[in-house]
Amino acid sequence: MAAISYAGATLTHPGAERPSVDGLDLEIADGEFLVLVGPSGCGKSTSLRMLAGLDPVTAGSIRIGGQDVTSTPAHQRDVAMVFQSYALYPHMTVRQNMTFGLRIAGLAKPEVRSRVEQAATMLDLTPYLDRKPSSLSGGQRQRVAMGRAIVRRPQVFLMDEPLSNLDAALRTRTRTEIVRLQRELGTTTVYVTHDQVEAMTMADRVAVLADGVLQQVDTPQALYDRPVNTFVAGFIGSPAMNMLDAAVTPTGLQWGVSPLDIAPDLLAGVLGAGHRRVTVGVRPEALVLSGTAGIPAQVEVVESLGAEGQVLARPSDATVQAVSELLTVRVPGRGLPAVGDHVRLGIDPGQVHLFHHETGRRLP
Amino acid sequence: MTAPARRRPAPALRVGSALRWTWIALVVAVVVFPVWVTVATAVSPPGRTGLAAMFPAPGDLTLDNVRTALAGFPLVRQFGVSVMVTALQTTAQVVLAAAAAYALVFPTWRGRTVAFVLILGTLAIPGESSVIPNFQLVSSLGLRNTVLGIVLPFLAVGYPVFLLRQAFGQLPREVWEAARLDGASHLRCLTRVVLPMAAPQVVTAALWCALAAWNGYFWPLLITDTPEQRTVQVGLAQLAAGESTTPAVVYAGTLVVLLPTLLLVLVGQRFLVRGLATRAR
Repeated sequence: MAAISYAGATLTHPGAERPSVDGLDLEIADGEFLVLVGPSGCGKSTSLRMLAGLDPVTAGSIRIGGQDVTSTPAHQRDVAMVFQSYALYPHMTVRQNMTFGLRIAGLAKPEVRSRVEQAATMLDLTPYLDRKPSSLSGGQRQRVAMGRAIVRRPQVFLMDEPLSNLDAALRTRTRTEIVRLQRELGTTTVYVTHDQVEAMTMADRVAVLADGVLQQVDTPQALYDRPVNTFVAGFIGSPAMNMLDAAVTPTGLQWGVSPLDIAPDLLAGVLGAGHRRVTVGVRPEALVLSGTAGIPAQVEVVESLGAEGQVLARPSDATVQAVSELLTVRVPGRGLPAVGDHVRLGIDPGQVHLFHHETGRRLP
Repeated sequence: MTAPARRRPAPALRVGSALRWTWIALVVAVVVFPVWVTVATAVSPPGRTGLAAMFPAPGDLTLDNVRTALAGFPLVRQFGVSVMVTALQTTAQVVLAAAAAYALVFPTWRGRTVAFVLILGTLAIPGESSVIPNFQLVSSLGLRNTVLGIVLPFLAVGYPVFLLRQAFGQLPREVWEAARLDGASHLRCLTRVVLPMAAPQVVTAALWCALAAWNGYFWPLLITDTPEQRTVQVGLAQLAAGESTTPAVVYAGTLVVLLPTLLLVLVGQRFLVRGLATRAR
């Protein structure tokens, strides 16, 4: 177990115009479960591979357990990785897959046997120990990959989208299993995913990356409640936050013909800083369907999920600009409006986020 | 319940099929005919050649021609030299090719593409152009007329490197990365992970190297002085010259040389086809 530190870690591939990972500064505590999340190509897997020693660090440094490993070869870093494709040795049995690293480390046979049996019991793999990976299902292979990592008892677990090849039901179950195992073993874990549900449900903290740059790192709830910019605000949360480009007036915010309700202290801050336009972020649950007051809109899509529903409505005011064009409203599952209904969307003033009109940074 | 009637193929398909099978039969005849003539003449009674020896009766079969060939020429000794040359040369070429291909595919280092192009470039150099320098080198090392002298210039060649590089390049890189993270050194990655995964292609490379070594003629002829140190291919040429009036004996000698090659191809054809098919992808 060990703390991890990225200090300005950068990777620029030869001939590339911009770095794949740009000056990453990130501290991960001993025993923490940190999830790296972001869209495809944001540098999350590259950051993980730099930590593993599979990709080089062209500037900055990486420390594991206080030791600078920036130039340490992968096989000397004492980290174990679970790959998206599992990367099992196809010509070896499950047992041989799990003991390969232990035999290299020179562990005594009884110790090797004990660790494998322990891990196999923990992961329900005992009946499959003498089988080859080709005869296992996707879920079983995933567990073998986990087992291969666990038996090593490394300083750090690295997981690169390990659930993306599983079906939805198995993914949910395995997600819980991984979290349970990590809590049980207490090993520092860095987990990469593009699935924000995985990120929010599994992590102690989540680091959001975009274009190779760390945007924000915080607890899942803090990310949801106080995103530092429009990228994080739009990426975290499903359905995504509604973004409205509003004018600042002495009496309040104006979106087209509609005034927007925001808390007086927020408005005072924006006026005091001299902003003339702001981007207003409103989560779907902060919008309410009301018959009388709010933004006039027409319902275009209604999606029922049973206990709740989603309504996508187009603002009636043609002069306004919603980034997503349609506004998303989260509503209770009963009494959904019909497509074509004219509604008004009220905003909960306590749940409004304000961002800089040009830079997208959070205000204040 | 009656079985469903089999649909007859369309006439165009039937003609195409017939043409294809005719072509295959022709190719097989061209390949098999010389082998058949060699075997049939070698086991026919001495002096019988040509059409008369093409279909010997079971009662006529004899090894007299083989005995004559073996009595007059040190073919058995030369056979042993050829086996040693083939084993040494094949082992060296496969080991070095595997190591080179591994270095060209897995670790990333500056200049590996240039290195590969240079290795490929050696395939374009005609073997004859290096005969004199090789002769001088081997002679200066005092290795003329030895097995090592026959093998030395061919310890490393480009083609198996190319073959194995293509094979290794198709293996999932993540498996190699997993082995590295498991603590495996490069040597262990090669021997325990990469080679077992590419076994069919490695066998193909080994077969290619073995056939090339077994069939070598010019260099072994040049670098050896005594009949006892020559390979069986050279011995066979001398047998052909010495026994030109008794072709059946020459055929018998040819059979002795041909047998290991035939056995190697028959045993390894599964790997040969699979390996070459992989390379073509």
